[in-house]
Amino acid sequence: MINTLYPIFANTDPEWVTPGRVESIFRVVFLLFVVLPLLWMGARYAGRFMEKRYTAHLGQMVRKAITYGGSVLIFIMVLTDLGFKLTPLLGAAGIMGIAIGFAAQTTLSNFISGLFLITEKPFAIGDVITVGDTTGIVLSIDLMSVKVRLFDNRFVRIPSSLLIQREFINNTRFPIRRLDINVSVAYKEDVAVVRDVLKDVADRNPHCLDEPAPLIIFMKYGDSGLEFLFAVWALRTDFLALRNSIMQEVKDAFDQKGIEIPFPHRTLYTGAATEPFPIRLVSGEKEPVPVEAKTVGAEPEEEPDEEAEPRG
Amino acid sequence: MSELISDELWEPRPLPEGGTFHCRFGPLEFWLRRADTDLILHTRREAAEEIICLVDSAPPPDDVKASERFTYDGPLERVRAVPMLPDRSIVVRPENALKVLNGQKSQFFVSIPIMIRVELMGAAADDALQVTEIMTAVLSNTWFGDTTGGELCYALKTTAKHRLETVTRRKWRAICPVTVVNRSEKSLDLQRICVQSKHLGCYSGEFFLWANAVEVTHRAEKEELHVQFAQEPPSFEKISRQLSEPRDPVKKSFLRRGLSGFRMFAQI
Repeated sequence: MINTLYPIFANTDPEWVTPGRVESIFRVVFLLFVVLPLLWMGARYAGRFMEKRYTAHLGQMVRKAITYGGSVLIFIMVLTDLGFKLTPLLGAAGIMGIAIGFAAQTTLSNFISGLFLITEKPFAIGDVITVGDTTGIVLSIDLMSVKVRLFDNRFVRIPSSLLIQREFINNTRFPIRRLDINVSVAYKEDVAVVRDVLKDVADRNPHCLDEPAPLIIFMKYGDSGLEFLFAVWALRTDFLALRNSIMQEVKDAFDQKGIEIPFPHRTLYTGAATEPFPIRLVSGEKEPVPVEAKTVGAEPEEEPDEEAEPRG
Repeated sequence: MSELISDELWEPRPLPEGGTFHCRFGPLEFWLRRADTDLILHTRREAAEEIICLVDSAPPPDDVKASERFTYDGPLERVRAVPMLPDRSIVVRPENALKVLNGQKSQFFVSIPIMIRVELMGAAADDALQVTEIMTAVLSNTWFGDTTGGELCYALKTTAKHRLETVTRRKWRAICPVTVVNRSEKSLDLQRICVQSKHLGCYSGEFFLWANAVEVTHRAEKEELHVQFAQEPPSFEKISRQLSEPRDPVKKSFLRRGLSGFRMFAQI
C-alpha cells in the first residue's frame, strides 16, 4: 500500500516502511528544506526591520536570536522525528553543562559581561572606540566578544569581560569633539598677538565651529617658550579634516606673522654662572673669528647674527 | 533707497543646447551650461552686490573651473533660479547683548543669505526637476545646544537689528522678523537667536526678500518655548508674491526646548 502510494519506497524493505516512518521522513525533509530556510529568511527580514526601526545592534541581536533559537528547535524536532529519545540526551546535557561551566569560567565571564554590555549600551555598532592601544570601528557586539575593525583594516576581537573590567573610550558618542593643540611660542613674542593669530586661524577654518567658542589658554612658562592650549571644536565627522588643516594653518599663520615656534634651548655655563662660555666658529675657508655666545642652541651650524631673525 | 527687485528674475527661461544660464547673487556667481544631456556647473565667489539672471550663449570664463556635472534625460527645456531659505538653522547674535524685561517683547530683523535652487522645468509649471542648491554666502558652522546634544547650524557674522532701517539692504538676503516675548517673571538674557529657517518660506517684497515672521514666547525658565510661525507674508512692505515654500512647513506653532542652564538662549 505504502509502496504504491510512495514509489520512492518501492525498493525498500516493506516491513521497515510503515506509515509513521514515512510521515516522519516527510516531516524531517519539510523541516530541513522548507522551515529552516524560511526561518533564516525570516530572521534576516526581522533583523533588517529592527535595524531600520531601531539600531543596527538590535537588528543583529534579533537576527541571531531567531536564527540560533529556531535552528536549535528544528534540530530537536528533527531528532525526535528520527526516533531519538531526548530525555537521556537532555539529562546528559545538564550534567555536561555543569562540567563545562566549571571548565569554562572565562567563557561564562565573557558571556555575562556581554549581557552587561548589551544592556548598558556604552557604544553601538559603527562607533569608534579605544581600548588600550587599540582604536577601531565596532563591527558587532556579541555576547562573548566585541568585534572591531582597525583603521588599517585589521580585525580585532575584544573579549567582553575585558571591556567590563577596563576603561575604554567611545570617541563618537557625542556629535561634536574638541581638538586640543599644544602651541609653543618664543619668549620674545607678544601674547596678545599670538592670541589674535590663533583666533583668526579658528575663524577661517571651515571645519571649526564658532560655538562652542575656541579656547586659547596660556598654560605655562615652558622650558623653551610660552605654552598655550589651543582647543577648537568640530563635528565628529569633521574631526580628522580639522586636525589636518588647522595644524598647518597655525604654522602658516605663525610664519606669516613672524612668530617663532621655539625648539629646545639649553644654556651652558662653565665655572661661574655669569661668565660666558667661549666658543669659536669656523665657517668654510674664512679666517676663524672668535665669538662669544651666551646661548648654544640645538643647531650649531646657525650663524650667530641670524639668531634674532624670525624662524621661517 | 535701493533699487526695486524685479520678479522677472525668478521666471523660468528657455535653455537651448549650448546655452548658459548665468546668474550672480551677491558674492555667488554661477554658470550652468547645457551640453547635450549634460549640465555643467561653474561657480565663482567674489565680493559683489549685484543680481543678474540671464541665459546667453557665451561660455563661462576660462579661469572658472567646472565644479559639478549633472546628467538628465527628459524634455526639460527651461531653467529657473528659486530663492530658498537655508537648509540648516541660522544662529545670530543681537546687536548688543541684551535682556528682555519681564512682560515685555522685543523685535529683531535677521538678514539671512538665501540659497539658490536651480531647477529644470518642462512645459507645465509643476514639472520641475531640482538640479542643485548653492548658498549665496559661505557661512561658518556653529553648534546650538550643549556638547552632548544639539543642532548643527550656520552662524551669521551680521547681527540681528532692532530697526529695519539699520538692516543693510542686500538683494541676495531675506529678512526674517523675529519677535521675542518674555512672559516670565524674570528678565530674559538674550545672547543668541536660532532661527529655524527650514520652516520659512521666501517672499518677494518691493525692496527686500522676506521670510515668514516668527514669534517666540518665553514663559518660565526650564519651560519649553512657544514658537509661532506666521502663515502670511510679513507686512513691513508690499509683498508681490511668494517665491518658495518652506522646506518643512509646520503648523502654526509648536513647543521647543530652548533654555539651558545659566546661559540662556532663545531658540526659534
